[in-house]
Amino acid sequence: MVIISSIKNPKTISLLFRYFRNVRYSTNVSSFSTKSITPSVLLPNCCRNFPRYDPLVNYSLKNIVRSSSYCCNLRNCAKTHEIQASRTYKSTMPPTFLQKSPQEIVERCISENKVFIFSKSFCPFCFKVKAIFRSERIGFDALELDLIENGAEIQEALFAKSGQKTVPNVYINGEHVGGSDKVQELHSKGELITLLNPKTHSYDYDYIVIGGGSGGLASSKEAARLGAKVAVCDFVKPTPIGTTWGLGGTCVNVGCIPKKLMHQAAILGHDLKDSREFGWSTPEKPEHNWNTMVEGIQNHIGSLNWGYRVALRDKKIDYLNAFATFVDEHTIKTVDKKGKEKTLTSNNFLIAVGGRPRYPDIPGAKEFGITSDDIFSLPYSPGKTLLVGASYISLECAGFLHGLGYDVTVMVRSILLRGFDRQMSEKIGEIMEQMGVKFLRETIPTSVERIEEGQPGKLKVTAKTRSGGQVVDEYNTVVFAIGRDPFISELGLENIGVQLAKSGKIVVDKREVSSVSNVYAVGDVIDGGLELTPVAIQAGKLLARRLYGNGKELMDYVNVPTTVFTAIEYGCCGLSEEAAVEKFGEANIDVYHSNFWPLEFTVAHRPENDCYAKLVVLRKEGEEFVIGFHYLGPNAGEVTQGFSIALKLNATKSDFDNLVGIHPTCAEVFTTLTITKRSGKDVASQGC
Amino acid sequence: MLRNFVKLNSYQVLVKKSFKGLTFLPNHLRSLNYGFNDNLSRNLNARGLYTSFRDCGMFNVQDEDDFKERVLQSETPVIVDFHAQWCGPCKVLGPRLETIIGGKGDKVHLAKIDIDAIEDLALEYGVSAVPSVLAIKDGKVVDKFVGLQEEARITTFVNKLIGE
Ligand SMILES: Cc1cc2nc3c(=O)[nH]c(=O)nc-3n(C[C@H](O)[C@H](O)[C@H](O)COP(=O)(O)OP(=O)(O)OC[C@H]3O[C@@H](n4cnc5c(N)ncnc54)[C@H](O)[C@@H]3O)c2cc1C
Repeated sequence: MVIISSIKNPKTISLLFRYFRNVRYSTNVSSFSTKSITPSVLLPNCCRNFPRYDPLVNYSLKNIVRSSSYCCNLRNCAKTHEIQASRTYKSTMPPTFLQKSPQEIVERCISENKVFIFSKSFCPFCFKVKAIFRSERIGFDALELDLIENGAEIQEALFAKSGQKTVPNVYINGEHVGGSDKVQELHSKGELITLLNPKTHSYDYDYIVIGGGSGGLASSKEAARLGAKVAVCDFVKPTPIGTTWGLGGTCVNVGCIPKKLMHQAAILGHDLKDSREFGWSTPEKPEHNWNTMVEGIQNHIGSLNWGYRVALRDKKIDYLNAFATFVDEHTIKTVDKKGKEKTLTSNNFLIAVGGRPRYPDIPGAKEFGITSDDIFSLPYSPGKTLLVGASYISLECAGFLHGLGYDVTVMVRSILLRGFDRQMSEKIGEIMEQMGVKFLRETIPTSVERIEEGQPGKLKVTAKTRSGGQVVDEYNTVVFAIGRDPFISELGLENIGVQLAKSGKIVVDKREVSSVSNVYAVGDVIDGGLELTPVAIQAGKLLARRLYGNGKELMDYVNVPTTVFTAIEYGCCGLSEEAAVEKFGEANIDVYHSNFWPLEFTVAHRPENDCYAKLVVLRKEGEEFVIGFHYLGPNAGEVTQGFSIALKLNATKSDFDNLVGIHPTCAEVFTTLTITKRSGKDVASQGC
Repeated sequence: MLRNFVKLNSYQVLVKKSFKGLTFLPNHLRSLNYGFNDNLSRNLNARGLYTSFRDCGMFNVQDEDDFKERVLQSETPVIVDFHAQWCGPCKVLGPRLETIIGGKGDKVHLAKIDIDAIEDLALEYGVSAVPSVLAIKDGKVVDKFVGLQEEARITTFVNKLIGE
């Protein structure tokens, strides 16, 4: 049940109901029951950005009124914070606030808010001013004087204070700015941002970012856009075999980018085989040249490195190709390639140093083994390869190496893809095994020895199985992909007392603040985060907006879609089946699923039942909310990216059913899922 | 094109860079240093181009001072070729420029700059994509183009600079 009071505008009402499904609503306050178990959201008329109904939250009248910034006093709430805030953002304007004297209200609105607009809800000039702030992604708070009882008195008090009679009346950092014309003028001169961040300290910089990877670059650019004086330090310590790379961090140089391109190389090989069934004459055994592929990929990366360098320069961000270490909480020391040292001070710091691959503590690992940091620029073809580990990085490398024609073995200690949906992970393993990737289960390496020099040389790997047996085999290349550790041992964190978690990563709160109040962290280095590039980017940007753009929005780590680019791709969003059952109980969870046979597989005679789709739904309030999306098949990244918006918007199973498919596609399978696991019916696709 | 080079000066050595750079240089070329510093061989190493050595109308810029001396303070107009090792089109444009400029005698010089080796210079001249080619006369940029161009277009560009 949603209760809305005194909404005058029918457009707003219809807008509100778009977000709330299946609810009775009333403008009558007396029908609002505190005992109601149905979602009860109290929405005063001025609220434009309010939380959507979220099936993962247990709503009660009490917690909504207490925890939401949007709902205070039914009649008097007129405060809006335009940048969408998270559920937990606490209102700074308690319900009783508007009962204070007009003078006090004016004073407090101005002093307690960085950017404040006294406004009227119908005034086109107010819209204009708000649009400017929105376009600059600067957060603001506003009071709609026409929507509150004492609006006229407040406007009077405001006139007495500012000498300005009309609205909008804008204050920034407690200083009177003026009305619409003035804001527009400042905006066109680029001075709005200067007002927002006046210099209040004597450090060299406002913001020093340590680590020029996904999170660091995104955050530094956003902070600079908002007028902060920013420097970025990025330095790559070479791997044990001496591999190093340019600006941009893991994703660009030794992660997502080269990985996806090598995956593409493997797909092309597979497509070449298929192409014969479609009438093309391609060689029975197409040849692949490793060095050509590496050169092409590295050239692309070179251009990306340069692009980042130019972007920093364009944004007037100082770039130091040097390794940074904390001296105290406002000072770092940097050392460049030539050993030249510098000392820099800053008001705020961002730690975005990411992580590096872990090596096992066994003889020969670092001397003869390599990691994902080396494989993408390996100057010779790897030959027969052993991948140690069951991480997605291990399986992805196994996938493309096998696709390129190499003899590939994966050695795993226990389960595949820890943290991912178990059924999907095991399916990936089975399919890869069918394709010809060898798996050594419950086995760990104990030593690596070199038995032949060369590029590649020959390595002898000794391993032990769980049952105590010994496995010995020879490989040309051994890749360790057993996990990644935060790269902080030489960062001097002990000098400033940043708290670390058990995982060795940095503990941050929701605002990405570490235990030291001016030191922030985003990306792979934070505890409890998600090790994904878009997550680091988004967190870094939002942080910069909160620091320098009066933003309030927090990073939302829920319903982040992701894809594992194994030979058969796996995309997912939301909860795994296990996690859903654990959280809500088996009785409340249903799983809709189906195998499917992509059209392009048919003529090519690829397996009928490799591809699989499932939706994990939560039965609640007579609805089935989709809380887990899982897809195993071609173009998983593209498919999952599109559907993840549905999960973000709390789509129900019937929303999926109402959606009309695009035919013939793989993704259309999600519009026709009818079989639940509970029913026990067969989902195998029927070939000819 | 080879002939053009030989005509130009007596010191030059032609080097074709392969994927792994200097390791593929034939030994007799490695010893042909003529007193050039390591830096030069490193730069050479970073080339995917036909390159001539010092003291001719075509040269690799060594650093910012070298740029000042041989480009900005040059009495002869200079075409500056900003290029990168990772840039495919640069490898096609380089020899084209060399052929055309080589044919102009001493009326125009060609300065090559590896943007990754002398990053600041490239940024100072606003190079956001490579190849980027500038025409510099009396220390000032008078013309420029970005990206691979046909020979006719390059010839016009060079002619314009030297007033032909
Ligand atoms: C093989 C592989 C494949 C991946 N594939 C994907 C994918 O498909 N999709 C996806 O979303 N994510 C993928 N990732 C994860 C993604 O790369 C990371 O989540 C992301 O790069 C994290 O960004 P970051 O900003 O935290 O750190 P990074 O990008 O790691 O950047 C940190 C930078 O800081 C530098 N640095 C460290 N310490 C210092 C210091 N003291 N001083 C100066 N500089 C320092 C480092 O050298 C590095 O350049 C992959 C990762 C790997 C390894």
